[in-house]
Amino acid sequence: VTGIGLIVVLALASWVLRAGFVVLVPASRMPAQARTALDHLPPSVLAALVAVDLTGSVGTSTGPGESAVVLGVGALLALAAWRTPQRRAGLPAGAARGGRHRPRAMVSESYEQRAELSQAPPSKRQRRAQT
Amino acid sequence: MADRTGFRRYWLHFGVLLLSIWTASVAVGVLLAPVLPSLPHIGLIGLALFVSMLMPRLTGRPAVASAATAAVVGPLTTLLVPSLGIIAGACAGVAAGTVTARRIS
Repeated sequence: VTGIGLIVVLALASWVLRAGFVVLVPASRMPAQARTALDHLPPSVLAALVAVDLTGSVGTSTGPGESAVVLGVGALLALAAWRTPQRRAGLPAGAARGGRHRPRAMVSESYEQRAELSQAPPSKRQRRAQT
Repeated sequence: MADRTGFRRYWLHFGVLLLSIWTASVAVGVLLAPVLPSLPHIGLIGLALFVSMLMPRLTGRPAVASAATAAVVGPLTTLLVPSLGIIAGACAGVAAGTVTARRIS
């Protein structure tokens, strides 16, 4: 029970961090340099994860043969991912939303575009003032 | 306005969906792990996931520079401070991507 509770707490903390930056923090108010830099964060994190995982697997392998197999598998995975059409990756997310709001801001748009979209909608008072 | 409201609603719903699936998957893994046989290739599932997420993002020189830098700095830092490898790699990758993007522009 403690293990499951810990998993749920970690998941909630992760979700609050993730959703909080989209829903609560107005990303459009962040400095432009920070927004531009955030565009480079996903490939950096993923590459660091892959490299640390690969070197860890190679380090714990029993011999050079097993290390070569691990590295070969990594290269094959990269080749397969490179050759797979990218649109397939977005299908599950699009299906989850029923196509009503297409996941237009998931991968293909820059952080600046996402920041513009994530701005809070105008309040009733602001809308009245506009009209 | 509809776009912005839809965007925020989309991310809220997507976050809850991700939270549910992620937590359920981890719980299933915790419960099933003792039952599964010790197969060496199971350890490569995580690697396959991250590689499949990484490759579509390598669409330009800044992204490639970010990834290459992170892939070098991450393991090197892990040798010194194991708990900081990924964070250090990510920071170095962001810096390299920013510098490369500036040079291009």
